[in-house]
Amino acid sequence: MKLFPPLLIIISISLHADQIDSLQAQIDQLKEQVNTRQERASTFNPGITVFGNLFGCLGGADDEVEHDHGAEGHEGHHHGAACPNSLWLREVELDFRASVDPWADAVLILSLEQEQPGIFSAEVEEGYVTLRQLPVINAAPLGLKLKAGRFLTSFGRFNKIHLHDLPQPTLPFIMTAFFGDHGLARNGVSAQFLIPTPGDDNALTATIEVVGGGGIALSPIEDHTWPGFLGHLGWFFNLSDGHDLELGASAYVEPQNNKPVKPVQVYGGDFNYKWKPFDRGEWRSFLFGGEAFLANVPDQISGNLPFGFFAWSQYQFNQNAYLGLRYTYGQNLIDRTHYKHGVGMFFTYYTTEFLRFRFGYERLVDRVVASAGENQVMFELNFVFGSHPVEPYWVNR
Amino acid sequence: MMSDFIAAMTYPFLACLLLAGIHVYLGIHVLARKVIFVDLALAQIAAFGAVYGVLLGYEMHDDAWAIKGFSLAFAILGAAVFSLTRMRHERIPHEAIIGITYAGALSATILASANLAHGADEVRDLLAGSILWVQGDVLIATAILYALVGLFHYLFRHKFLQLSLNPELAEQQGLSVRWWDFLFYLTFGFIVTSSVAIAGVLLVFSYLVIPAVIAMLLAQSLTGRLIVGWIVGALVSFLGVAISYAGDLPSGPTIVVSFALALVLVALVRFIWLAKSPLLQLGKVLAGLVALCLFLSATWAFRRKEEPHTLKELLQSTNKNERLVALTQVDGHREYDDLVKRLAHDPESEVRQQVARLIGSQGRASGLPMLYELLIDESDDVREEALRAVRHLNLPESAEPLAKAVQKEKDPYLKVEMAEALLELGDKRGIPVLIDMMDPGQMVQVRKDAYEHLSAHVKLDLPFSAEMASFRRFWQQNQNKLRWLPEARIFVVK
Amino acid sequence: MIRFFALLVIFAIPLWASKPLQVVTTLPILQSIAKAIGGADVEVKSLGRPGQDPHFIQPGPDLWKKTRKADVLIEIGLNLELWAQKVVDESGNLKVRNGQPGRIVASAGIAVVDVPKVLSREFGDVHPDGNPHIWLDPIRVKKIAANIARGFSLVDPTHRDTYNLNLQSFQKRIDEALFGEQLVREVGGEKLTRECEAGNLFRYLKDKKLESKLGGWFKKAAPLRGQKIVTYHKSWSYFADRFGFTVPTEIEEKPGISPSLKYRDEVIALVKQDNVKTLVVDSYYDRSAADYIAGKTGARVIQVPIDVGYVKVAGDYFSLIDYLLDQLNGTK
Repeated sequence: MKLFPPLLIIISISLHADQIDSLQAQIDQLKEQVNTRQERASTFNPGITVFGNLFGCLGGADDEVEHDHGAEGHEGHHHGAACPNSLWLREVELDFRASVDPWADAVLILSLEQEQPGIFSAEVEEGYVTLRQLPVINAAPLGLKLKAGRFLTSFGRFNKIHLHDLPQPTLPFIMTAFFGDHGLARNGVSAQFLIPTPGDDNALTATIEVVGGGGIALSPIEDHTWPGFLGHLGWFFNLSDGHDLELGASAYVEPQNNKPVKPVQVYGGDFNYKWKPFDRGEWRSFLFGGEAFLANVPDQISGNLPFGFFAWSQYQFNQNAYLGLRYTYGQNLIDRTHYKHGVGMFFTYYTTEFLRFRFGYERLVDRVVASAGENQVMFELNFVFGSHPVEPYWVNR
Repeated sequence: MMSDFIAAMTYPFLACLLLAGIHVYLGIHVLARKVIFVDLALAQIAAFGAVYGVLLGYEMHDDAWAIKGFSLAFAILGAAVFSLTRMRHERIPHEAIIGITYAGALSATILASANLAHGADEVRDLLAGSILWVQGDVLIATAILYALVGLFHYLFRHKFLQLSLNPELAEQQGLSVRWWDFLFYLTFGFIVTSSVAIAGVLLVFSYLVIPAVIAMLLAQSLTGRLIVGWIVGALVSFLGVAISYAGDLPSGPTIVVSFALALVLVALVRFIWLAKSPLLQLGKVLAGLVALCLFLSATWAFRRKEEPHTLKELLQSTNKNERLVALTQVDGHREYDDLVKRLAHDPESEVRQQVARLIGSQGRASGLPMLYELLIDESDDVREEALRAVRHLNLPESAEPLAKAVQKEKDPYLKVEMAEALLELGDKRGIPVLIDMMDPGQMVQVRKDAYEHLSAHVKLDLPFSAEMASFRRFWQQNQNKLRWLPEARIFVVK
Repeated sequence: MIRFFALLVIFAIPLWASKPLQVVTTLPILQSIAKAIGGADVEVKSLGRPGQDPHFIQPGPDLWKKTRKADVLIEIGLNLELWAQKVVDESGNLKVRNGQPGRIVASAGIAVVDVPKVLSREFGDVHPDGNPHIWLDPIRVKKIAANIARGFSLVDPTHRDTYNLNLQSFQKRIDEALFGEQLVREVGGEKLTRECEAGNLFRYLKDKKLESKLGGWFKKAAPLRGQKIVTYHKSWSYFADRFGFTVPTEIEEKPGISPSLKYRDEVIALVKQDNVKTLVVDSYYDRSAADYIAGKTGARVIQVPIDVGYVKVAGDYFSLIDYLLDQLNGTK
C-alpha cells in the first residue's frame, strides 16, 4: 500500500522523538534534587526490555538465472533471492519477565517484525511459565525446571537464541531450511534436569520436551495435531581457568501414526568451545562452535537423509571489536547429490553491551547450478534498553 | 499571555514558514525521485560536518560560520556522491546506498562526538535542533539564501522537473543527467545545511516529506500540490508551535508529531471519502481507533511505579539511601514529624542514627521521647548519636532517661559518657557508675576516661592510681553530702 | 570383636550425623571469610574464581551444579553479582532463593558510598545502590562476617555458639591487624571501630595522646595518608577512605567504558597537576592506558588483584591487605 513508506517514516521519527524527550527529561532531573531508584523491579511490575534490530542487506547473484528455490523448503528464508537491497527495522522485541508467585516465573516475548520491508507481522515469539518447584510436593527433583507455553525448543544451540543475540546477523541457511524462518519454536512443555555426574568441573543437563509436532520446514504440510518429542543432552566441561567446552546431542522425533502425513525425525549434534581468560577477559576471547543436522523425511527419495552443518568462530581483539567467520553446508532436501555451501565473514563493534554495530559479507554457492553464487553484504544495528535480563552463558556479550 | 506567546513564537514561526516554503517544493522532487532517505542522509552528513568542525577545534556557537562551512563542505561531498551513484540500470537500488550512507554518517557523528566533552549535547542539538532560539539575523540570512535558491530553481524549473519525474526521457532529450543531478543535490545541500543548523535533522526531514505527502494525497497537478503543501505546512507549523508553547514541550519534536498526526488524519479522511460506502469505512476506522486505545490503555497498566519525587514519598521509600537523603532534607518542616517518628523504628540502623542526629539539631520537645528511646537502641552507633544529641540539648528532663539507659548500657565507653552526661546535668547518679568503670578489670583507656570525667565534675582528692576501695569509700561516705555548683559544674562535699 | 565394632559405630554416629553445612559463595573473599566463621562445620565453595572479574562472570552449568546442593549462598549484593540470580534459577535450589534464610547478602545494613544521583546508562555501567567493593574496608568486613554468622545461625541453629565464637575471634583478629595489638588492648576494638566509622580516629587518638600506640595496617598505611592515587576502576573508594588517600579520578572514562584518547589526555593533565605518583589497575583490566599515562607523567603503575587467592602471597584476607599496602607503598 502507498501509505506504508510514509508510515515507516513516521514510526522512525517518533522513535527519535522519544529519545529527545528522554534526554530532555534527564536534564530536568539533573536540575532537581537527588533522585535515586531501585534496580530491582517492583514486585508488581514486570521487568521490561526492548530490543531493536535494524538490518540492511545488499545482494545479488552472479548471474540472473533463476534457480529452483523450491528445494529450500516451503517457508525457507530464501537467502540472497530474498535480500531486498534495503535497510529496514527488521525486528523489535518486547521482553517481559516477572515472578508470578513463589512457584513460578513468567516470560513473554512479543516480536514485531518486518521480514521484508513493508510486510509487518506481530507475533508471540515466546510466552511461557517456568515452574521452579512442583506444587504439593514443593520440591524440584534433580533440579527440575518445568516450562509450559510457547518457546524456542532446545534443539542444538542456535535454535534457542533470539535473532538479536546471535553472533551473526542471520541464522545459518541450513537452520532456516530445516526448521523455518525463526527456527523451531513450538507450543508445548519442557522439562530440564541436572543429571548428577562425578567431579565439580563438568555438568550434564538433559532436556525433554513434548511439543505440537508437524509443520517444520522439512515437511510440507502444517499440522500440529499430534505431538513431537524433543530431547537434548548437553555436557559442559570446565577444562581449566578460562577454557570451557560443551558437547551436545539433540533429537526431534514425531512418532509413527496412521495419518496421511508422514512424520519426520531430525537428529543433531553440537559443540562449543569458549576461551575467555580471567586476565583482561573483557578485552580478548575466542569462540568456536558448530552444529550438524541429519533429517529423516519419509516422503523423500528413498535412502535420502539430508544432512547439513555449520561451523563458526569469533575472535575478540579489543574491548569492543570482534571478528567472526561462518561456514555453512547443506544438502538439498530432495536430492542429496546437490548441495549448497557458503562462507561468511563478520565484523562486530560494541559501544557498550547495549548498542552493537555489525557488518558482514557472505557468499553462497549452489552446486545444483554450477557457479551460481550469491553474494550478500549485511549491516546490522542492535540496541537494547530497559531492565535487560542477564545474557545466557552461551552468548558472549 | 497572548503577547508573550507572540513575542516568543514569532521568530520560530517565521522560521517554520521559511522552512515549509522551500522544503515543500524540494519534497515534491524527492518523492518523485523516490529517494526518501536522501535528505535524511544529506542532513546527517551536514550534521557530521558540523561535529567534524568541532573536532578540529571550532566552537559550535562562537564559530558558527566556520562550522556551517564544514557542514556545507561535507554536504557538497555527499551531493557529489549521490549524483555519481545514481545508476542507470539500478543494479543496486539507489536507496540502499543512501541508506548506508545515512547509517554511516550517523555512526560517524556519534563516534566523533564521543570524543568531545559535551558530545551528547552536540548530537542532541543537531538532532532536535534549536528552532526556539533562532535569531532575527539568522532568519534574514536564511531567507535570502532560500530566495536565491528558489529563484535558481524557478529559472530552471523545467529541467529539474523533468529530471525528477522522467529521467529516462530527459536523458534521451540530451540533458546531462549527472550534471543537473549534481546541481540539484548541491542546491539541496545548501538548503539542508542551513535548515539543519536552525531546526535539526528530524524537523528538516519532516518538512521535506510530510507536507509533500499530504499534498500528493490531496492534489494532482504540480501547482496544486505546491499550494496545498504550503498551506498545510504553514497551518500545521502554527499548530505545532502553539501546542509546544502551551504545553511547555520542546518545539521541534512537537511540530514533527503534529505533522505526523496531520498526515494520518488526512489519509484517513481521504480513505473514507473515496470509499464506495463511506459510512462503512468510517465504522472500520473508528473500530481501529478503539482497538488502538484499548492496546494503549492495556500497556499503560504495565507502567512502572512512579518514582518518588516528593520528600513525603522519599521518606516512605523502600530504598535505604532514599530515606537517608530525605532525612537530611527535612530541616525544620513540622509536617513531616509523623513520618520521621516512624523512621525512628526503621530496621536500618543508619536511618535511626540519622533520625537521632536530626532531633538533636532541631531540639524540639516533640522529638524528645523518640530520642530517649534511641538511647537504648540495639545498635551502638545509634546510641552514640542519641547520646550526642541529648548532651547537645542539655535539658534537665533528660536526667531520668539517662539514668535508666546507663544501667542497661553494655559498651563501657558509652556508659562512661552517659555517666558524664548525668554529671553535667547535676545528677549525682553518674558518680557510682564512673567509679565502677574505674575498676582494674576494665580496659586502660576506659579507666582513664572515667577518672578524667570523675575528677572534672567531682571535687575529690584521689589520684588515678589510688585504690578502688578509697573511691568506693568516698562515695559511701559522701553520697548524701554532695552539693552541685552549677557555675563551676562540679560537685563538692558539704 | 563384635563389641569393638559396635562401639566404633556408636561413636561414629555423631560424626556422620552432623554433615557440614554446604556453603557456596559468589566471590573468593566471601569464601575465605565464611571459612573463618564456619570452621569445621562448613564446607565452602566459591563460584567465582580468583582473578575473575565479578561483574562479568558468565555462569555455565558447572556453577548451577555447584549451587544445586548448597544450603547457603553468600553474595555481596548491591547489584555486583547480577549473574548470581541466574545461577540460583537454573540450579533449581529452593533454599537459596531471594528472601530465604539460605541466601545471605553480605552487604545488608552496611553503609555504602558512591550512590549515583541520576540513574541512566548514559553514564556507563553504574551501580544504582552504591559502590559494591565493600570488602576492601576491614571495618566493613567485620560487619560482613557478622552478617554471615547470623545467616549461618539461622540455617544451622545447633552450631550457633560456635559461629558466634568464631565471629568474635575473627573480628578481634581484624581489630588487632588494623589498629595493632597494644591499642586494642588498651582502648578496645569496638570503641576504635566506632571512632573509625565516624571518621574521627586520628582526632580521638590525638586527644587521648595515643598516637604513638597505633600499629597494624594503619601504621603501615601512614605514608599513604593525604596522597593522591589514581585507579583504573572505581573499586578503591572504601580502601582509600579507610587508609586516608584520595582518588581524584579514574582512568576509565565511565564505569565499564575504556578511556578515549581525549579523556586519557585529561587524566594525564590531572596526574601532573595533582602530582600523582601511583596508578593502580585491578588484575583483570587492561593496563595499556595506565602504562601510557605513566610514560607521559613519570608515575608508576601497579597491577594488583583485589580478591584473595590470585597471588600466592595473598591467600586470605589478612595477607591480601598486607600485600595491597605493600604494593601501594612501593615496598615489596
